[in-house]
Parts: sequence; C-alpha cells; structure tokens
Amino acid sequence: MVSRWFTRPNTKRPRCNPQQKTHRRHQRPTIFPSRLGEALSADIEQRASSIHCRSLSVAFAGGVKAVDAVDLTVGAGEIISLIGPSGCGKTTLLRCMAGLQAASDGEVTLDPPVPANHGNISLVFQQPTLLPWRTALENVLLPLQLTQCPKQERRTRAESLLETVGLAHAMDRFPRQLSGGMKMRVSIARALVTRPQVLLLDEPFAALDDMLRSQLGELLLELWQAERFTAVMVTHNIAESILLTHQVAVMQHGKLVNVLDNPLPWPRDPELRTTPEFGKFYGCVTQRLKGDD
Amino acid sequence: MVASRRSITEPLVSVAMVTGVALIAGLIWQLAIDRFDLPKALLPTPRQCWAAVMSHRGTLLRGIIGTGFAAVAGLIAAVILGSLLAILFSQSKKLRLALFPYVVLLQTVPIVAIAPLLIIWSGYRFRTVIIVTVIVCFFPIVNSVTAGLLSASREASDLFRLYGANRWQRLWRLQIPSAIPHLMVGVRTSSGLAVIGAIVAEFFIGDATSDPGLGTLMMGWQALMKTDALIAAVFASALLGLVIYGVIQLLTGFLLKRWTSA
Repeated sequence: MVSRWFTRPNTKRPRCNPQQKTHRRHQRPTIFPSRLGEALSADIEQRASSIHCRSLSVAFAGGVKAVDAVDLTVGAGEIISLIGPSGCGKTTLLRCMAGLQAASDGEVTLDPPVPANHGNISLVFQQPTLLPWRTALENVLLPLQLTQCPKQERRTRAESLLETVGLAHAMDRFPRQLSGGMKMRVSIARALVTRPQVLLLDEPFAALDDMLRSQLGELLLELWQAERFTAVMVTHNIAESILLTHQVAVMQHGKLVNVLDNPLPWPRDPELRTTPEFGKFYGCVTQRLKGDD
Repeated sequence: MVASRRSITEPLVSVAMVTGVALIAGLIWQLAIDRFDLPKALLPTPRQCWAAVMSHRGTLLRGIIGTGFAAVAGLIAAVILGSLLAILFSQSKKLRLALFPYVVLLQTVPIVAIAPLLIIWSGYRFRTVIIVTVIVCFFPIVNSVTAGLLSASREASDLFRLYGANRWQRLWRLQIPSAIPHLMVGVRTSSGLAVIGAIVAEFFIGDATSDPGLGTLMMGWQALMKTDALIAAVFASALLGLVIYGVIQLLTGFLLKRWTSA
C-alpha cells in the first residue's frame, strides 16, 4: 500500500513530563490552524467535535467502579489513545462515549453537540462484527440503511469508501470469504460510511498480526487525513498508541492516571520507531503504565 | 464449479452406500426365514413383501400422498405459528418467561395422550390429523427459532444501538436473518416428527376419511394379519419421511446460500 504521510499543524512538541497533571492540558487554542490551508475544507473543519468527559463514573452491580471520576477532553480532529492493563475500564469509557453505556455519574458531551445515534459517532469493534449473510458492500450499507440516508446516495458512498480502504475488488464477497485484515477494513469502512464526527476504536487491530497492524494503522491515518474526525482508540499496544496519536491517556483501575502529549513530529512515519524520541516517549508511557503498582 | 459438483456427487455416494446396506439387510432377512422356516403370517420374505407393494401400489401411493399432505400441511402451519410465537418471545422477556414453559409442556405430554381428546373436539376428520401434526412439530420450531432470534452477539446488538435502530429494524435486519439457519434445523427435526404425528393421528381416526392414509391402512392390514402388506406400508412411510427430509435439505441449501456458500 502506498502511504501518504501527514503533516500536523501544531509543531510545538510538549515534553513528556512526569509531573504533568491530567486536567492541565487543553488550552490548545485552535483546532485546525489556517496553515493547513488547502488540506482542509471549511466543511470538514466544522464537522469534527471535541469530546468532554466530566467526572465520569460507571459503577456496575456490586459497586465495582469500572470508570472512576474521569475528566478527559479530546480536541476536535485529534487522535487519542486509551491505554492501560486489562480491566482498567478503557473499553467501558469508550462505550460511554459511544452512548452504549450509561454513566452512573458525570457526563460525556460533544462540542459542537451532535444528535446521538445517527451515525455521528461510530465504533470499530475488536472483532470485525460483520453480518455473515451480507456481502462486504451490504455490510457497509447497513449504517446508512439504519440511519435513513437517502437511497440514491447510499451505494455510491459505500462503494467509494470500500475503494478507499482497498477493497474495490471484494465488494460482493461474504465475510467468510475475506481474510482477517480485509474484514477489519470492511469494519472500518462501515464505521466511516456515515461520515462520523467521532470515531471510537476498541482495540481494533488486536487480533491481527504485526504487519497487518501497521498497515491498518497507516490506513487509519490516511482516512483521518481525509476526514479529520476526532478519534479515541483503546489499545494494549504501546507502539501503536504512540505512532498514531496526538495524545496518550493512561488508565489504571478505572482512573485516568495521565494524559501525555505525544512529542513525535508529524508526518508520522514507521521510521519514527527507531528514533530516540520514540524510545524516550515509549519509556515514559511504560513508566506511567507501571505507575502506582 | 467444484462446490456444486461436490454437492451433487456427495448425496449420490451416500445413496449408493445406503442401498448397499439395504441389500445386505434383505439378504440376512431371507436367510433367516430359510434357516428357521418362519411362517408367512409372522414374517414374509422380501419377495413376498415386494409383491405386496406391487399389488397394493395404488392404495399405498394414495396413502403416501394423503399422509404426506397432512404431514407437510401440519409442518408448514407449525413453522408459521411457531415462528410468530418465537418472534413474540424474542421481543418480550416477560412473555417468554410466562409462556415458554407451556410450550415445553406441549412437548412433554405424549401425543397419543392428546390425540383422543382432539378427536372428541375436532371430530373424526382429516382436519384432526393436521392439528395433531402441528402439535407434534410445534416445539422444535418455537425452540430453535427463539434461540436463533436471540443469538445475535453483543457486538452486533451494540452496532444496531449505535445507529439508533428501532425494534423493527433490529428484528428485520438482525434477528430474523440470524434465526434462519436455526429455523432450518428446527424444520429438519420436525419433518420426521410430522410423519409420525400424521400416522399416529390416522391410527385414532381409522376409516373415517374416504382416501385412507398410511396409518389407516396399517390398522386395517394389522386386523387382517396381512403381514406382507403391513411391512410394505412401513416401507412406504419410511419413503415418505425420506422424501420430505430430502425436499427440506434441498430447500435448506437454497435458502441458506447467503449463510453458507463458499
């Protein structure tokens, strides 16, 4: 796959500071500075919403707090990763943002607000979760059918998106005829077909091998470049969480421990993995993850 | 295409093997009669049975058609009624908890215990045969379709919630398609039961209908000690069961193309 590499407007590189506090960040003034110019149409610029979690808690039966008083802001058009050990509440937090899980305390708001359940917020599951009786194309059409998108638009949108993810030749295949990586591409295409303002990803590449993982990571950045959605990605993979994001949010036992600004320069290139900066930030995230154990 | 060739040759091979087993069984049968010198009234030879098949072939064929019609009509009615009930069950947990035990009860009460009652209520008529068949087929259909409607994964359900799908969209685009393979399993289970149900009902009804079904024929021949004709009727009912099963297999392959084709 040919990768295009991406420029990020904000070249300021925040250092990884162990003293950095969760709520300190986000006086970031502009979402898309004008320098980006031609890359972004005004339309796209207005589409992305920022996500604000305010003292968000989720308690399950038995009083277990899966998410405990989380304050988190994700800037419009930014990618943030949620990283932490299994059972630390990152998936629950993501489900709250998706509106699939009710908060027991606090709230999640989008700015500008968008109506829920109309394809404005999309979720990519860990498993591709394709309907086996539908072809790739029909699976991508599903969100448009459910959200009452005008009939004549549906097909062209779904087809062009499948082309974008490199599956123009496989539109009429059933999921069982697709490889794991292809299924995940269909799943990503399905998530983006409604042109969501917010894309949530729940360990999307966890079941794939390393090669596919980095390929799909590149694809994700490509798509982000085109659509500039706000993205939250739950992951176990530190390298992935660094390479694809503007920020890394570290969770432990339902609490947000740190939000680290990613110092790596844009465009993102797999070569960055070999730079000292990458190593340093990797070490920093690892240290945060060990954290209060 | 490789796939379609395999789907044609595989049944042919299995038919050949099944026929082989039948020939061996017939040989043992014949040898047993020769060895132990059994009287015809107790166990006629395969040849005598075949002669009975040929001499009663018109009657047997009409019996197969009559009983087969009752079995298929009952099965179709059970599929329609059972699927509708399963859809209700899938939409309301309360309804499921309240009514499902009664569906199980219907299954646990032997059909021979209900049949006399049904004759009192519905009369010595063909209609009663169909009702008995419906009752026999009902449980496997309701059970498998309900399970199928509730089989969608949590992720798939989340996907529909994410896009604000209403109850009908969920039912139509997620639950019913998920249930179709389950339905076909239920239909296959019920197809054998349908023939049993129809024949049992005919035992009770006797000679009431103008064109006797296989069950009625069996009762008559048993009274006359026509063992060869009785065995011919047994094979006729087996044939009927096989034909229904085969048609359902074909139908399943056709209906489930989207779910299984390579």
